[in-house]
Amino acid sequence: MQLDPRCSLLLLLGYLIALASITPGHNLLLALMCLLPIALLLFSPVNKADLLAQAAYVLPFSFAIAAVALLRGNTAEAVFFLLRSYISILAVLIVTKLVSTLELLRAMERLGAPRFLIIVSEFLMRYLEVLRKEADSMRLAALCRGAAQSKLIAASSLGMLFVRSLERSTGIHNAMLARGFNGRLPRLFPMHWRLSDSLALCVGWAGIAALRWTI
Amino acid sequence: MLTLKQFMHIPDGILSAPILAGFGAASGLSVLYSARKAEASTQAHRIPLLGVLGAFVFAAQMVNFPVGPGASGHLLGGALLAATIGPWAASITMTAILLIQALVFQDGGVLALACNVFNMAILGVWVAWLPFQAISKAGHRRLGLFVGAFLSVLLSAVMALSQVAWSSGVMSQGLWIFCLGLFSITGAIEGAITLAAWEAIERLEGSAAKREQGNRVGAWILASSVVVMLAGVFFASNSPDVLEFFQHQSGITATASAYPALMPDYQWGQLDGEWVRKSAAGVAGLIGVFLVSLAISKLVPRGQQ
Repeated sequence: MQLDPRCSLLLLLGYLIALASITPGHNLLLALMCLLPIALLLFSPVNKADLLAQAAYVLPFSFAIAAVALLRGNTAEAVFFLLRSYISILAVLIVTKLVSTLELLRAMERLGAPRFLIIVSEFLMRYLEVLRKEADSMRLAALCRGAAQSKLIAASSLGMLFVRSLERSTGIHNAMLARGFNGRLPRLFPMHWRLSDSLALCVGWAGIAALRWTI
Repeated sequence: MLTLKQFMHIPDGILSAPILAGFGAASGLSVLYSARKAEASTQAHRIPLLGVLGAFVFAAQMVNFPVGPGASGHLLGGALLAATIGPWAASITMTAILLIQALVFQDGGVLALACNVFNMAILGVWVAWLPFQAISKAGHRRLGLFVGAFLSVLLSAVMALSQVAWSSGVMSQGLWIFCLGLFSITGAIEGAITLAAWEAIERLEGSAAKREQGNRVGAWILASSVVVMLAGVFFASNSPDVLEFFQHQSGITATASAYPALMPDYQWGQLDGEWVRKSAAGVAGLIGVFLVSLAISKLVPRGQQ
């Protein structure tokens, strides 16, 4: 069953809020809360090993906090911060694998996020790879010229990238005008909130609340 | 290695609920207002511009700047965006960048976005914009840009660390002082890179003013370091820091004290007053590090740095 992206986003936020409300020292409760994303991971059509490894990306930050807690003699607190941050990112990763970023952005728009912010984010997503490739080509060209360590070349590359970005944005705007842009981006696939979404949201939130506040 | 950029993107699971709620409300209202102001002041052709400039900031982070022997840094971008497209549009572009970083690259949490947006898209942009505006009006545009970029990174990082400290309570005074020093250096690097990029943009757009004489950026980095170091002496605590605490716990102190120290307890010679002795030791340390770095940069071939 495919949930509406808004429902998935609200369930994720509900879970993250419940997780954030657990205070250090309640490691058993935290361990029980970990069961939800782990169960979701087991039943989702995603590469489980990949996601578990990817979630470790957050560990350098959490290790820094945990190390300070350890130095002050709070081992339980150190374990708590590591586990809570790891399980939080695992939950986010599962949702972002099941729902595309574009759908999540549109879900945010429908839930009240400013339309202007969402349009800018969509443009950013669309041209991210283009400009990354451009920057990569410029970096490679600088390396070929043997100028990798020159501050002047790095600054010129950045300036050139900026000017090219300006030119590209003008070109994009002209193309949009040619297609009849009127300030709004058309949505090809409108979202439909069904009864099953309401049911899933109520059951999901009730389950999270029961696990968090009744144990 | 944990870079400052990673440290400023707080992940989920670190911050407490009251901090998230408080900063969430502040960020939500600020972004709503900024979006309204940016939309009202933005012509239609600037909508793709903001998105493409957001992508530019991502791409610009791939360009490494040599900042010393064997070390390099990259642009963070808040100050450059504020100076080029204004604070409202820059806030929205930075929010879009943070949103994509959280959703696509898991760089910063989804719930922690509330704090990350406040630190980098609201505070980071405005503390860059206000000094830039004020100092530019006095005729020192480049200085304004450098100070703005420096403050943007310094205050964003301090705010991020404060949020972590308020939530976890694990920070000690010694660690705070160490982090302040680290953030100041990163802020100065961001200022220098922003200034270099700005000058390159001006040159390419054909409106570059006459270049100022001398290496002002270097002078400002040194001046900022001295100011931060002198301020640090005032606020420095006599309590042991994390390393000292660890030394006492593990018994390393006794071994370490067997060797004579050049400036014991970070104080120099027989000068009058503890503050003067500590300041003199700080300045001497700073000059020493500068001279060693200079010597390495001259002795080690550029390709090996």
